[in-house]
Amino acid sequence: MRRYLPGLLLVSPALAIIVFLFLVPLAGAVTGAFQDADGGFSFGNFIKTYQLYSNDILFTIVIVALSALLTAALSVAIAGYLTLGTSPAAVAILRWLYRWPLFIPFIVVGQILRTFLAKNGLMNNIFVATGLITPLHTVGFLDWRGIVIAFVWKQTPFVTLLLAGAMASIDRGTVEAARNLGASRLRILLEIVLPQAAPTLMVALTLSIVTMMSVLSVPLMIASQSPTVITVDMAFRINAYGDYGVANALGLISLVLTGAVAWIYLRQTMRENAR
Amino acid sequence: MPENIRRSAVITGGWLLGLIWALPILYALWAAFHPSAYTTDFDLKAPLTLHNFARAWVAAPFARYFLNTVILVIGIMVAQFVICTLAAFALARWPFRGSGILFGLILVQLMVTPDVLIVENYQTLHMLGLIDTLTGIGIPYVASAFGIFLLRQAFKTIPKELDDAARIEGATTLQTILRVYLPLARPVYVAYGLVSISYHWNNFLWPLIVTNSVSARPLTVGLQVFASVDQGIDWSVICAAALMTSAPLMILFLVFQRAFIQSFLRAGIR
Repeated sequence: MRRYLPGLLLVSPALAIIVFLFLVPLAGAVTGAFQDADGGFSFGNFIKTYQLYSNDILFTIVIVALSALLTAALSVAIAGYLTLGTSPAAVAILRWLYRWPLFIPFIVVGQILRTFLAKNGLMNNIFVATGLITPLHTVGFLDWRGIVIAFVWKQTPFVTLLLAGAMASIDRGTVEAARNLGASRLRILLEIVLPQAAPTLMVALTLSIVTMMSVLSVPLMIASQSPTVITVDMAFRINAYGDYGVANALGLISLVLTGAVAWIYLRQTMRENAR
Repeated sequence: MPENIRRSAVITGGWLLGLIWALPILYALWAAFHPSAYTTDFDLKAPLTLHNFARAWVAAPFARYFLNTVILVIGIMVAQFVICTLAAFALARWPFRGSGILFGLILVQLMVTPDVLIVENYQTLHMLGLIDTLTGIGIPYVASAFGIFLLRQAFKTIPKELDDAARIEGATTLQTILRVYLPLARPVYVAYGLVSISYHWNNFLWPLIVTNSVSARPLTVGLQVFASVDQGIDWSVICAAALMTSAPLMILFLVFQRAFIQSFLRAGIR
């Protein structure tokens, strides 16, 4: 009790910002989503959102889920090789290579992939030059595939970084024992290493999902035409119509989706802290 | 012998996968350093040029954008360090009535995507006259939940005896934080600082909405100019601009790579 005032004093700058730029706006966004043009309570924004954007909401969920799955698979493969690989040179090169996309901004990833994946972009030109396909058969990847490629490419290093750390810290004894008994590397990875590193994988994926849900630049550049993701719709609602009601409703839906995933993360962290 | 063949097959396959992984970056480098005619045409004899960088540099006020971005990321990081340190210290060492609820609130902030609050925050900042200023871009992030959470965890592992020793020596609270807590939590500060810098260097949506003039726009928003169709899509200039935007961050990462990865793992960031 003696420490009540000094403690509060130290927290107060953070508290002020949290109240004015987080709690108050959060309350405002929630009430704004339930208000019609005259300020009365209504579900109008959600009905309109459902009519206009239910496809895009589904599209967002599918894209983010697919990206998360592919990211998980790639990360397990890379982190697994870093942990169990036998060729020091290959491990060193992989370790050096996989981190690169981590520090490239999403908007730059968007720019680069936009020019790389287009119908007449470098990827297709290489295919044509090597005789794999003819110019008539080229297809651009600037749709859902482009977004998924961008997300996976950008998020895999982050998940791998955390996963490789977790895999490096597990008990080597069991791995050596399994190896002595003649288990294959794949089996050791899937049955011994991965289960022990699974909590970290889940946490890393959760943070990745929250990040992917809130990225505007990549979908805006790669595939802004319909169907597209929630963030692009929100930006469109505000910029084109000044329609804050529907934008708030979309934001709230996005919040509920990420909140559900993030809840898992928080519970995991709390459980680990309690230990 | 078969073992050798298998081994070289694995290594070749690995190189191939690595090449595909690095292809977008290699491509950006290729396009940026060659004339536009060779953007989508891979020819080893193509002449090298810096012309694209020169064109990108004059197409947008990059010098100003760089300055804005540097001021912004350093400003945010310093403010985060101060505010989060104070809050984390109080939460870790001086629990008061309601501090548990407060910490809960901070954790809730972790799981809210910033885009939900954009509309409301825009109105608040408009009221405060902070639209189109660097302060306006940075202020919603300075009480970072991630930072408070991380530092609180780090501070909790520091033995209380050190506090008492410092107090007996006559140190004030501020001195204790500066001389005892800060040095002991250094890896956490390094890791968090780099995460903060890379996040805000890359941040796009909020700065895009809050700024409307060159004087406050950071690099990522400036880069948007090259995405508009009316510019005519010149990929080599786009790639040059994109590389210029991310080069400082990549260099920073290369220089601090070892320290960063180790801090990252030691701090247990997740």
